[in-house]
Amino acid sequence: MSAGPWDVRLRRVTWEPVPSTYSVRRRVRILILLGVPCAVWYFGWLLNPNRVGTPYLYGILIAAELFNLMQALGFWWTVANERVRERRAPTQWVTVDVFIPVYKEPPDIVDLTVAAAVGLRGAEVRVHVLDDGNDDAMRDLAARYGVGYIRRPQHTGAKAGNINHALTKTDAQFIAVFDSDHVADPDFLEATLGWMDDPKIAFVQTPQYYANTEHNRIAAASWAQQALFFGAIARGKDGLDAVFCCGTNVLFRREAFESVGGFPTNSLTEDFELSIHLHERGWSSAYVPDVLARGLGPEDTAAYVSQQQRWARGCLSGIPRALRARLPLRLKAQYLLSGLYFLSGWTVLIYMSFPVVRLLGGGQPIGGINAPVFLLHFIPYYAVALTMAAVAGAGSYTFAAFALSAANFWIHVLSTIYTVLRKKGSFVVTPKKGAEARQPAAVMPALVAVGILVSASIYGLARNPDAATINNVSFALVHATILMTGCWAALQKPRAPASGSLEPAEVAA
Amino acid sequence: MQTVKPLQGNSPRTLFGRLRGAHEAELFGPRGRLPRRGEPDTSRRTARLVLGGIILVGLAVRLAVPRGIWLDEAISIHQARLSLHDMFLTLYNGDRQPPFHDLVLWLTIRAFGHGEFAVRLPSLIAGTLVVPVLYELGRELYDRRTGLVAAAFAAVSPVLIWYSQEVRMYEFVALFGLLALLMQLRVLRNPAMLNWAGYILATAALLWSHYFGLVLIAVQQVVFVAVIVHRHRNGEPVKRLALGFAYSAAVLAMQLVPLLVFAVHQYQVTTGAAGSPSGTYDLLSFYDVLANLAWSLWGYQPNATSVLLAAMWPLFLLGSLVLLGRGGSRQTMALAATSLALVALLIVASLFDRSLFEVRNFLVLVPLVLLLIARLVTGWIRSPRTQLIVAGAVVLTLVVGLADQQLNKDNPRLFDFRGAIQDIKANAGPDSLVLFEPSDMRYVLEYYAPDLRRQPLTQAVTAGEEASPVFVLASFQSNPSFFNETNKVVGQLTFFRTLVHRFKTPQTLVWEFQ
Repeated sequence: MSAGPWDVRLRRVTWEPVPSTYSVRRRVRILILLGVPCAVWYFGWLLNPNRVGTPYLYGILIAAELFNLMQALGFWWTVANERVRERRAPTQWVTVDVFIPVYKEPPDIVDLTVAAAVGLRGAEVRVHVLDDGNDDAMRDLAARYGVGYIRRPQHTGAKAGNINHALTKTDAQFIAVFDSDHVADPDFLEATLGWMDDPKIAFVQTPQYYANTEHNRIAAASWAQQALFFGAIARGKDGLDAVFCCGTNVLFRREAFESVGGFPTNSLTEDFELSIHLHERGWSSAYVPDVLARGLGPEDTAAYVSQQQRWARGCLSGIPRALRARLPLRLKAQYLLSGLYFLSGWTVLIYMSFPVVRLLGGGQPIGGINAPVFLLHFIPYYAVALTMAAVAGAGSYTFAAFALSAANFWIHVLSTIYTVLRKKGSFVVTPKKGAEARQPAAVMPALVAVGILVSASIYGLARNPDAATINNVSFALVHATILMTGCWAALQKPRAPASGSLEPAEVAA
Repeated sequence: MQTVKPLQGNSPRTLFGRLRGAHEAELFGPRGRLPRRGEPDTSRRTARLVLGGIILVGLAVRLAVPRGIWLDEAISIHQARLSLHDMFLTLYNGDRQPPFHDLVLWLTIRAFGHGEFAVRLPSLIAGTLVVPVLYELGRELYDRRTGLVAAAFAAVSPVLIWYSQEVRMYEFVALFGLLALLMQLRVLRNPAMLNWAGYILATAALLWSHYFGLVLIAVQQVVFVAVIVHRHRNGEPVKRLALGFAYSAAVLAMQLVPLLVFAVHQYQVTTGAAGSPSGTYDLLSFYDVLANLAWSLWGYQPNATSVLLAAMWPLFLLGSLVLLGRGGSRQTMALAATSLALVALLIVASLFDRSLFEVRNFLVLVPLVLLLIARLVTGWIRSPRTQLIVAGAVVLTLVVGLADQQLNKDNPRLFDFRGAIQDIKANAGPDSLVLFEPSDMRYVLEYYAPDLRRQPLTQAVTAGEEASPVFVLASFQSNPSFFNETNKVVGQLTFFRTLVHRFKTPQTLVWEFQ
C-alpha cells in the first residue's frame, strides 16, 4: 500500500458484490432443501444415546455441534432472504456532512480519503476531518483541501464520542461517515441518497472493501472474511430488514441519529449498538451492495488481532443488550447470530482437543461406531454446509480466510472470558500500515496449539500406530495445517509493498 | 477546539479531481475477476523431449511384469484362441463384456502367438498410449506444463500400470475414454468433420470395449446438449455442432441396438452361473469408496495398508476446505464435474451389485484425477521450481505405491497361479491329476499346463482313483462356498491318501496327495 497516484485504493475493484452469473437466493434455497434433511439425518444419528463414548467428551461435542448447527441454520436463513438493492439517485438537492474521524493515522493515508470526499457528487457536500489526535498535520491537510477541521478539547468516547461531538458542530440533513483510510467513489451519494426518500430509513450501509489485498496475505484473508459478510450475509440481513451499521461507508439521516443521541460511547462496537437503538425506535436500515469506497484492511497479524479483539469484545458484550432489546424476534435473532459468531473460537478449541485427548490415551466423544457409519451420516451435512459457504460467498470465502479465523480462535476464547468477567476493554484503532518484522508473538497461542497437536501425534504413533491412532493423527494434522496456514503471514518477513503494479493476483486452477 | 468552516460545494482543484480527470477510465474501469496470470509455458521443443522421456519411462515400467496370468486373463486368452466364430459364440453365451478387446487379442495371437508378452501386448500398447494422450488432453485443456505433469503421473501410476499388464479390456477403457474426451474437446472448439470422425471412432472403441464406457458417453451427451443450449442462448452459431451431434448420436444409437441385445443375452445366461468368483453383494460403504480412491492413486496395497490409508480420511476434509474460494477455470470445473458424474453413476450402479464399484471399472477416472492433480500443481503454485518439487513429491508417492503393489506378496489382487502350477508341474508325473477350485481355473491350467490331467474340485474323487499324485489347486478361499468345497475335498483326500506336500503362493493353495 502506498499513497500517491497509484495508491492501491485507486485500483480496479476485483470483487463482485452480487454474482452476475447466478442467483444466490435461488441456489441457497435449493441447498437448504438438501441441507435440512441432511442436518436431521446427522443430528438424529448423533443424538442417539448409543453414540455416547466418553460422556463428558460427548457432552462437549454435542454442545459444539449444536452451536455450529445454530450458526449454520442462521446463515442459511439469512442468505436465503437476500435483497439486492440497486443504486438509487437522489431526487432532491440536499446537504450532506461527510465525517472523517482520524486518530493519529498517517496523513498520507488520510490525504486521499479527504480528496475523494471532496469529490463526492450528488449533493451539497461539507467534508469535516474529525481529529482526535490533535495532529497539526491534519489541520494543515484540511486547510489544503478547504474542508472542515474539528478538534475536541476532551477526547472521551473514542470514535463514537468524536462523531457525537461533530454532530453538535454541523447541521446537514444527512451524514456520511468514512474511516480515515476509506476512499469514496465520486458517486457514493448518487448511489445511496435516493434510498433516503423513504422516511423510515435511518442509514444506508455499503460494503467495507479492502483494496490492499493483492500483495498482503493478512489483508487478503481478512477481506475474504469481510466479503462473505458484505456479500451474501449483508444482502440477507437487508432482506430481513436487519442490516446493522458497520461504522464506515455509511450514510445517516441526521434526524435518526439525533433521535437516539448519536453513537453510544460505552461500547467497543458503537455501530452495532447504535443499530439496535435505531431499530428499537422503529427506524429501518438499508444496504446497497456495491463497492462505493475502498479502504485498507489490516496489513499484519497484530493489526488483525487488534481489530478482531475489538469486534469480539464489542459484539459479545452487545449480546445482553440484544437480548433485552424490544425488537421483533426476527431482528433480535439476527443481532444474536452476529454476536454469537464470536463464540465460534470455542468450537475450534474443542475440535482440536479431541484428537489430543485420544492420542494421549484418553477417551473419545463417540463410541461403538466405525468410520464408514460416521461418514455416512456426517458427510452429506458437511458437504451441504461447505457448498453453501462456497455458493453464498460466490468463491470469495477462501481457505486462507477460514484458516486465519481458526488460528485466532483464542481471541474469541479470551474475549468471552473478559466479557464474562466484565473486564474493561479499550478502543484501539486498527493500524493502517503493516509492521516491517515477523510477529510470532501475535500468533503464539496458535503456535502452542500446533506444538501440542504435533507432540500428541508423535506420542500416539510411538505408543500404538494402529488405524485409530492414524485417524486421530490425521485429525491433528488437519488442525495443525489450518493453524499454520493462519499463522504463516505472521511468521514470514513482510514483503515490501508493490505500489504501481496492476498485476492480478488470482490464478484460477 | 479548532474549527475551520468547509467550502460549500465541490472543489474542482483537488487531488482526486486531478486524478479522476487523468485516469478515471483506467482506475475505475470495468469491474470483475482479473485475468489469469500469464506464466510462460514450457516450449514446444522441451515439451516434446520431456514427453518422449516420460513415455519411455512409462513403457519401461510397464514391460517389467512381475506376475503371471490370472483367472480372468486366462478366460480371455482361451476365448481368443478359438476360431472367430467360436470366440463370439463363447462371449455371447458365457461372458459379460463386449467383444472388441477379444477381437484385438484374437488378431494379436494370430500374429505373435500366445506367449505372456504377446497376449499382454494390446494392453501394454494401450497403457503406454495413455501417457501421450493424457499429455495432449492436458495441453489442450490448460498448457504444455500441465500436460507434462499429468503424463509423468500417468507414467508411474500404479493402477494404470497394473492394467497395462493385464490381458483384459480395462486399459482400453482408459485409452479410448481419454481419446473420446480429447476429441469431444476438439469438436467443441472446432466441429470439423475430421474431429467428429475421431470422436465417433473413439466412442465406438470405448463402447465395444466395456459396457461401462456408456457411462462416460452418457455424460458426454449431456455436455453436448448443455453446450449447444448455452451457445444458442448466447446467440452463437450452433448449426455445425448440432448437426454433428445429431449424426454422432445416430451412430451411437445404431451401435447400441446390437450391443444391448448382446449385453442382455449375456446377462441372462451368466446370472447365477457357478464357478466364477464374483464379489459379495453387501451394500456399498464409505470404506469401499475410500479404499477404491486409495487404490486408484497408489495402486493395490495389502489390506492392512489399505485400512491405514482409509483411516486418513480426515485429510479429505482438509482437502475440501483448501478448495474453498479457489474457484477454478471452466475447464477444471467441467473436468471435475465429469469425474464426479462418473463416480455418482457408478455408485448408483453399485447399489445393485457392490462388486461393480471397482477401480478397474472406472479406470478412465484415474487419468482424469491425475490431470486434476497436475492442474492443482501448475495452477496453484506460482514458482516453477516449487511446481517441480511438488510434482516430484507426488511422483515419489506413486512410485512407492507402485513398488509395493508390484512386489509385495500380500497384494490382495496378486494371484500367483503361475508359481503354483510351476510347482505342480515340477512334481507331477504322467498319472497326475489336478483338482481345481474355482472351476474357471481350468483356463489358467489350460494356459500354463495344457498337458496336465485336470478336473474341477466339485467332481468327486473316489478311493479307487488311479491318479497319483493328486493335486488340489485352490484359490478365492475368502469365498465361503469355495472354502467349504475345498475343505470337504481336502478332508476326503486326507482320509483316503497321504498328504505329502502342501505349499502356498499368493492367494493360491496347493495340496499334493499320493
